[in-house]
Amino acid sequence: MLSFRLLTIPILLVLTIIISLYAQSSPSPVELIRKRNETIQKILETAGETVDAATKEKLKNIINDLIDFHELSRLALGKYWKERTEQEKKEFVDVFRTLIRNSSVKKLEIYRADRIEYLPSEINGDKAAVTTIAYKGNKSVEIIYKMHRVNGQWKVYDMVIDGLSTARNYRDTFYKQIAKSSYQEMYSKLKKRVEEK
Amino acid sequence: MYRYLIGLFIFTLTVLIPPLFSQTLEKLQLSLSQCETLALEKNPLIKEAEYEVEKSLIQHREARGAGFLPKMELRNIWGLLPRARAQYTSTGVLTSPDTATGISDLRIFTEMEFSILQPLYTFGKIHHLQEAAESGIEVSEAGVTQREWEVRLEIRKLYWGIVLGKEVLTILHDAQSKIREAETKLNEKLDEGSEDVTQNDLFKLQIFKYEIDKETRKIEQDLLLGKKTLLTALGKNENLDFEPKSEYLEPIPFLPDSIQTYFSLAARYHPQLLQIQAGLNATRALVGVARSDLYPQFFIAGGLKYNYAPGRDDPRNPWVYNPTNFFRPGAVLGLSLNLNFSQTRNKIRLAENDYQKLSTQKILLHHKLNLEIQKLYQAILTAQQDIRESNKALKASENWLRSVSMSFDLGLAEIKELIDAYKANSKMQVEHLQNIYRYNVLVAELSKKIGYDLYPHHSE
Repeated sequence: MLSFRLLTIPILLVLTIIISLYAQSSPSPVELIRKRNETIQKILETAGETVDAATKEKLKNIINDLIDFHELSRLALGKYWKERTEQEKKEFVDVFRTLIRNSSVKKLEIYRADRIEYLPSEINGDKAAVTTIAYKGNKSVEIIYKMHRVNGQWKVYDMVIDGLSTARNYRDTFYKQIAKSSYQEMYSKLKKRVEEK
Repeated sequence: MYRYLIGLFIFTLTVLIPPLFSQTLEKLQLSLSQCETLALEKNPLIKEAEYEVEKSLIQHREARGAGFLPKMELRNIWGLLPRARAQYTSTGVLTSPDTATGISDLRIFTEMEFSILQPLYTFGKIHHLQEAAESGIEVSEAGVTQREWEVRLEIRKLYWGIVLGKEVLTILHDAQSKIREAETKLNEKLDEGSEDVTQNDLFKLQIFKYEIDKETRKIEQDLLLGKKTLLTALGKNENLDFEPKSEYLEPIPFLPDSIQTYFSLAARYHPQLLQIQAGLNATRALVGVARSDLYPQFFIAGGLKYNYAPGRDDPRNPWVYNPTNFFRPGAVLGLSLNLNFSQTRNKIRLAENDYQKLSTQKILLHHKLNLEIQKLYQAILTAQQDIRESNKALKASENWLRSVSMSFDLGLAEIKELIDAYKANSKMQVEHLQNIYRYNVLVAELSKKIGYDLYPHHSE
């Protein structure tokens, strides 16, 4: 019995060291955002003012790789999420992802900032918030990346741009549309939009 | 032949093409402080005021000179006089062989007179005259400062006006390009037979386009006129293309102090107040000058007179006056006093009246200034509040536009919603800039009003 107790302490110690080493090896939320932004900035610098289709495709991947579209969809649909079947949920996430990916390369100006300031991330268990302030000329835009850990990886589930929550904004739009017609009609509109592109 | 053609081509490139390019306007990029320095150097109104300073400096030198030998004169004359030799007969009668006055009898004579006057005691007259002249310099110097402030304010208004115009033009050009994009999208949707848009959306867009185009033309004209006016004020060729160094219109970094601070600063620095104070000192000194006339003015005077006329003898006779061939030095101690005391008292009353009038003017100016400072101070506080509020409203309009854009990208917002959001955002951008412009001009106006610069040095 005593020998078992004596063994537990070193085992726990070793486990703590392993966990802390693992935690140190995965990049922090702020590092992830910084690396992503720097990569985008470098691509844009090389591309110049006009960005060709191939570069846009590359940018779409980099910009959206960190986004957890499943969680964003869940938040955006709000109360209507639970009412959806698994199949509907999957279809919605796919359409929503495509639309966001397409629109993400329309507003690249935010990445052409003169300087981006990264504030220390606020980590609370499996949730984190990274605040960045992008400066361009005499203007600045604050973006808060709301993140959570999915399978040990930090993913963005909402972005608050100068106080405007992306998830909430989509939710307002979807609620309005569903109230006006139905979920099905709204989904058709989204699908139609995907096909237009 | 081939070589000849190449030569001709190179000649065309090097000789004929450059003059075509040189026709483009030469750029002149200056910061606000550079503009101010240039304008202060070149402004004719300041030059005119500086001549007044020079004039008062001369008057001061003259007043200082009144204390030492204010009168020192030398007179020398040359002329012709007939010869007059004196002869006494054996009986002692005075005769002369020169009775005829022909040209051959004329002789050149010379006469020189030198006189000086030194006041000894004037009962303060000279001292007061000097004081009045010193104050006269201060009056004219304050006049220069006043003109400098007027020029500085004018330049600041023009400079910030140009920066504002440039920024508004950028917003308008952006709006024009967005309208073109929207028009294309609308037409495409209408052609596709989309149910989301109607022709009325297109008409609305066309009206918006007209408003933007009209505003753009107006701003372009105002900007051109503003640049020409500024260049003229800087003494530069008005056909140059002026470019302000400030890229953006930003509020002047200035933290308002208590109102009392500006009252005290105005009391110390406001040129008109300084001018009136110097005028008061001058009139007080002139009262002293007038009062000194009630008392005798003591002086010492001296001189010498010398006459030399060859050919005219001195008869050495006490009964005969001989106006030639003499040397008379002399010195006297004297006093002068105007015995018409009623006239002197009237002069004193007039000088005192001038002093009282100026004192009242000073009180009036002081009250007027304090009221104006208070008004400007309140306006600055309001302008600061307006900037804060318009910044918030601008952020809100940006969020509105962002929000509608997101929905539009999903195909869940109508184009008219996007136009409304864009309109509101453009309007807020312009309004925010106008608030900053008004604030910067108000700080410049307060600086002029107190005579103390509240702008940070080398503000770009």
